[in-house]
Amino acid sequence: MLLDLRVFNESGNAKFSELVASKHPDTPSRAKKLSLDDSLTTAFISSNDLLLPTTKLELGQMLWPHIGPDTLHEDKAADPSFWNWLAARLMSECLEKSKSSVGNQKRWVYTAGSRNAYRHLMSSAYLIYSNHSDDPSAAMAILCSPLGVFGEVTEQILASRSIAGSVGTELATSLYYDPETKKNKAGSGGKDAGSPRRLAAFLNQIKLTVDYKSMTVPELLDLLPEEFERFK
Amino acid sequence: MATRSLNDTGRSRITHEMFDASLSRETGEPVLKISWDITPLSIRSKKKLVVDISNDRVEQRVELSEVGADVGEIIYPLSAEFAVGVTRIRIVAVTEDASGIPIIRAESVTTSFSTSGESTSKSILVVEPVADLAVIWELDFDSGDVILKVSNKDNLWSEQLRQSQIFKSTIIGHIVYAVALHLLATRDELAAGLVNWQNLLVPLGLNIDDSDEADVEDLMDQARDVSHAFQEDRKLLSHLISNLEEIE
Repeated sequence: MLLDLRVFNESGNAKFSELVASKHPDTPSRAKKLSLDDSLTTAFISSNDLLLPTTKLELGQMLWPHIGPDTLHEDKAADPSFWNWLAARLMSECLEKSKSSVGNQKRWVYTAGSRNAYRHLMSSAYLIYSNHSDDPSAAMAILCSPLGVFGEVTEQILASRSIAGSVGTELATSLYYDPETKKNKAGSGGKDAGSPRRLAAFLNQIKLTVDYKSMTVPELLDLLPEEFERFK
Repeated sequence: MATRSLNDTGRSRITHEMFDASLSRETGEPVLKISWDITPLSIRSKKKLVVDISNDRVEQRVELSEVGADVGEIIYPLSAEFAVGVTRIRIVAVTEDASGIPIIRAESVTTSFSTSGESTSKSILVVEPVADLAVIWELDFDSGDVILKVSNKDNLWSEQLRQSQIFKSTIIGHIVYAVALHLLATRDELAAGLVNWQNLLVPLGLNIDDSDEADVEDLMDQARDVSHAFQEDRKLLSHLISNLEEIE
C-alpha cells in the first residue's frame, strides 16, 4: 500500500534526477528513500485505498479517482513533480517484478517535449488509462503490461501522439491483445511483418491522405495490409 | 538544389489567411477560439471540418462544423490538461471517397500557442517558461516549432522577463540568427512551424535554394546577415536605447 500521494519539491526533483543519472547499483532503494523524505516531498492525498499497482491498468485505476478530470488534484496529472515522485516511490517494486535494471533515465525522470514525455513509465501508463477511462478494455494492449516494462506495443503506439490519442490504441488492442490469456499475443513484441512497429508505420503513412482518426476499428482492420492477418 | 515541399499528396492547404485562432489562458481555464473561411478552397463535396488539438502528452479532436460550413467561428473550452505547456492545433477538412473512406481534402499548417498567457495563430515564437532550466534561455526546434524556453526559476519569466523589452530586444537577434541557420541547414521537408519564419526572413536576404551547396561558414555568414537585417529593419538598437532612457 502507498498510504499517500506526494509531489517532489524542487530539491526532491533535483536529487532524484541526480540519483537516476548516477546509475548507482542501489538506485531503487535510494529512490524510495527520497520519495519518503518529508523534506523533499509534500503529500496531497492520504488514503487507505492506494493499493500498490503492478500493471499499467492498476496504476490508472488507483490514480483516476484522485487526479482525474474535475477532481481536486487534476493538475497533478500534468505535473512532472508528481510523476517523478511516483517513479521514485515505485521504482524498486517495478524493477524487482520485471527483474530489470534502471535503464533509460527518461523512463523515470519526466522529460518535457513531444519526443520525450511519452517515455515516462508512470505518466504514459496513466495517460493511456485516462484516454480510455470510459472503456479501459479498449487499451489493454498497453494497460495489460507490468508497470515497469515499457514494451514494443507501448513504444510504437505512444511514440506517435496522433496514434495514441485516437483509434490507434484500440486498433493495437484488437490486433495484439488476447483477452483469454490477458496478455499480448506471441510475436507482438517483434519488429517483423504485422508488428506494432509496422502498424505505426502504416498509420503514419496513410495519415497523409486518409483521416484514419475518424474511422472505427473494424473499418481500419479492413484497410490493413495482409501482413497483419496473423494477428487478426 | 534543396527540395522543399509541404504538400505533395494532392491535399489543399488551409492557409493562415483562411483562419484565425487564439488560445486564452489568462484565467487559468484554456479557451480556444477559431474563426475560418475556407471558401477559396472550393470544396464542393460534403465535408467535415475538425481541429486536432495536442500538447506533449495528449491529443483531442473537436468538430468545428457538423455541416462542414465554409465560414464559421467556434469558442471551445479545453480541458485543464491544456492550461500549461505548448498547445498545437491543426485544422483538417475531411470528405469521403466512393467507398466511404474519409479522405483529407485540406489541412492547415500546425499552429502552436505559447504557454504564457494568451497567444494567437499569428505568433511565430512559442514561449515556454521552464522552472528548472539551468540557463536564462535557450531555443528548441521540437516538432517543427521554434520554442523559446525561458527560465522561470523564482518566477523570473512570469514576473520579470515577460514584461522586459530590454530582455526581448537583446535576445531576438540571436534567435533570428539561430532560426535562419536552422532553415539553411535543414535538408529534409521543412517543418510546418517554420514556414512563417521562412516567409519572414526571405525578404531579409535568406536564400535557401542554394544552401545545400554552400559550406558551413557561408551559411553562418548568411544567417548573421539576415539577423543584422532583421534588427535594422525593426530598429532594435534605437528601441533598446529609448527603453534604457525611460528607465533612467
